[in-house]
Amino acid sequence: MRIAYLEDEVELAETVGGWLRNAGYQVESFKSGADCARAVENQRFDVCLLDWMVPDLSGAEVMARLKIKLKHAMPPVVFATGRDSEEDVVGILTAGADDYLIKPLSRPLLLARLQAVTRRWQGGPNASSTQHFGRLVVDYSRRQITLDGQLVVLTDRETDLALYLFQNVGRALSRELLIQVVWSLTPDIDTRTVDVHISALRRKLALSPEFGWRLVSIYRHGYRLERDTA
Amino acid sequence: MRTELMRVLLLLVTISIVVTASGLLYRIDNLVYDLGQRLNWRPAPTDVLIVAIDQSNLERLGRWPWPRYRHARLLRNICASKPAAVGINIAFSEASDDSSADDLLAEAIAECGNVVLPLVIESTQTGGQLLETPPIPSLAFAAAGLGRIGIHLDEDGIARSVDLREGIGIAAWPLLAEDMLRVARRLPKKYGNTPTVNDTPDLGHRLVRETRRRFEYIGPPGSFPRLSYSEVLDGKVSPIVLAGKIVLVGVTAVGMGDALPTPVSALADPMPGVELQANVLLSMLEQRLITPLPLLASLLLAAILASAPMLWLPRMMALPGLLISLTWLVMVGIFSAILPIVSQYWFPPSGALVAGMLAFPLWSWRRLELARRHLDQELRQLRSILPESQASDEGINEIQTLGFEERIVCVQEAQRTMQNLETQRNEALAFISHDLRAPLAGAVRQLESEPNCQPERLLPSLRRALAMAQAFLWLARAEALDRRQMKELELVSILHQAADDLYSLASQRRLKLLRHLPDETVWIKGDFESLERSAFNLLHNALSYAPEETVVLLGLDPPRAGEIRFWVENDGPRLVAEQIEKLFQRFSRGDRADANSSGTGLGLYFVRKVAVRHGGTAGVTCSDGKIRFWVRLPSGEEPVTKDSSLSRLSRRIKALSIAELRRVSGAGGSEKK
Repeated sequence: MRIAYLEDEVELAETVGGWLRNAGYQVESFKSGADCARAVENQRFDVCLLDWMVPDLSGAEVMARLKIKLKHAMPPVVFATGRDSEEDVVGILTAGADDYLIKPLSRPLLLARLQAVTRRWQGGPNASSTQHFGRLVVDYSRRQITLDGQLVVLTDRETDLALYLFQNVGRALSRELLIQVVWSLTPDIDTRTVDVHISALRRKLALSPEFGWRLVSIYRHGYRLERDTA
Repeated sequence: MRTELMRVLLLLVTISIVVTASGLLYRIDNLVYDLGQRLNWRPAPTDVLIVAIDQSNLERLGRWPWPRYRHARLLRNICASKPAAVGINIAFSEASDDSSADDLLAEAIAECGNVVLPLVIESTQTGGQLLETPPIPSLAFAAAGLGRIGIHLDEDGIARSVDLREGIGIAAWPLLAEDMLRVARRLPKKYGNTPTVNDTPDLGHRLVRETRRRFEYIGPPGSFPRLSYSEVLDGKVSPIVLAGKIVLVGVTAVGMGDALPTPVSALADPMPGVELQANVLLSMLEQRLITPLPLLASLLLAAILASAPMLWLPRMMALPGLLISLTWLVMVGIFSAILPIVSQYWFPPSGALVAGMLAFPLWSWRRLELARRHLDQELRQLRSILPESQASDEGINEIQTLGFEERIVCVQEAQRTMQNLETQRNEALAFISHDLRAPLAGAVRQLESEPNCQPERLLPSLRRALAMAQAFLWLARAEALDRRQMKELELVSILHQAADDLYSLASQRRLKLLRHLPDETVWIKGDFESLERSAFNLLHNALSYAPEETVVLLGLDPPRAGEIRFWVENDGPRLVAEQIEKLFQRFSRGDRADANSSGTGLGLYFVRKVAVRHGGTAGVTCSDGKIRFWVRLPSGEEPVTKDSSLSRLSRRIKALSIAELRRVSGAGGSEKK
């Protein structure tokens, strides 16, 4: 799998490049945003890992340029940034990044995020299959979820939301996206509804670290369901 | 400033011109004029005499009217002394019963040859038609001249001016005074060449007046030398007294005839007509009749005087400006009061005075307005660069509604905020230079002294430095929190998230982390990151200090009385009050902390700061061997959205889904308890 890696700090680029190569990625490092954008436009990359602050074109500008040039053929983008304020993070995600990482980078987190965004891009789990997550078993074809073998009683919307979350474990999902997917038939839905349903799922499906789950709010932007296997 | 000046100047000039042109404030003009006249007492003249019919004469010679032969005798006595001219201020408009007396008088007049008789222009008793009433023909024929004795009364009923020519249809008649001077051959050329008949067309029965002039008073009633009628009649007066003089004969007795109020006498002490005539005569004789300035000249002068204050007002502070403006008013008043005395021209000063009076308030108003604008601008700038303190919740637009003093208070507040920021900056510098530098310097020293140093020995101090920098960053953000920019948040999920984050620490320390959180969502207005960080800090504290194998609780009390309170509870010794106070201070670590703990000393300070920035507070309570740190926040009420049908619909859907959720969770939602 080819990854375009934009980072102007040489030492950091070497370290992270090493992690990625060890994990089986083909890494192409760029020190300049313009070079990176040109390369991604002309060659096929499976994922981009962009630093925000680079001397010429910033990561955000690279992404904006790629979006215009490549449109739907654009590879998923993960940002690595030292800017961790809500404004910045939500800004990146709204601009179309698939996920973000706050520097200093941690190797497992980086690999998990990259895996999550690339997995989705190669297609989710088979829609007719069943998935086992420890105590939870998710049956996509029958639209049922069992906890310790007990069927969990969920409303239709909660089921939709839960199935979508389990299909996109590790991926940042914006409220708007969740509303589009789950409440596509209901116009003018209050974004609070999403939170109410998430809160219900957290409780009913016991999505807490005790059971290997973390249901993370990304500020007020959206949610990410993470498998916490450590 | 320059345009302001021009604006005020224009306004002042306009005011002065309008007031001057309209004569609106003639009372002020007259006041100034009268004041000038009162200041202008002069010694009694030597060549004008009044032969007065006073009270004592009436008592001696019997009641008025007197027989005309008596007047004839008087005239003969006077003329015997060769006066320059004699004017009689007694109207002989009807023939007396005794025609021989009329003849006697006519003879006496003719013999004198220099007697001027009065003509009265009066309205008839019925109908108000005007009539010129000369003396009876025999007398008029004998007289050397005929002159009007009319005096013009101003709007306020005071006699200040005369019309040099007046008449019905044609302004034909000169004044008695003028004719007397002509007879005496002492009429100044200036007045002498006034044409007696002019070209103006006959205006029918209207009264025509020409060449109005003000005249001067030499003093209050009684200023002219007087001779008693009876004494002259009896020949008791030496001929030298009358020789060559201009003599006026008339009634001065109080309550008789034609006394009028004058600028120099109060209303209670009117001046007899004969003395008025004497004053007019003297003014003419001395060429001191006062001409009002032509309109254009008055307007120009008024405009110049009105704009004068703008010469100094822009250059002066308020008090000197006020004092000089007041002085200026007095000066303009004195100038226009003295002008007629010095140059025989009258300038009505009311326009200039009003403008002078308004100059200071107008200019001060514009100045204040400028100051206010500047203040507002400064305030806006300050507000835009300062993180908003919760003390001033008003938006920037609402500056308009503030009073002047409130604005000053606002600026002072901003100033204080600036000072606070300065203090914070200094604290930050102190923090960086000491707390942050120390662990980093330690690590560097270790690396330098032992090249093959174990990473494990370096890591703690580096981690500590990193944690400090991070905590400091968060704190800086918390200090910049602005309540107006906070948005709706779900508090329960934030607390869950904080607990999730610390699960691994809890399991490391073999502590049980329990959540007493409600199943429902709880909404407040707040800042996501800082609230999550607050909960994290409280939990981290509890997990760091709680004895092993105990329970740490994270709880959220249901909203009550507009307040929401979340708390973290762990086992621990009771804290005393001063310890508690110290806990929430900046860079302080509890006494329980050991030297190499990762605590930054900013955790609880941060928690309190965030709570305060959200309009709440943070605190700690101890009971039964438990320590509970809590954060109290104002509960976010259901936001009142605009009542469109769409939002109503969305609310209904939400209500439905919540109800649905409750119904379902009611069956199996008790696993937590």
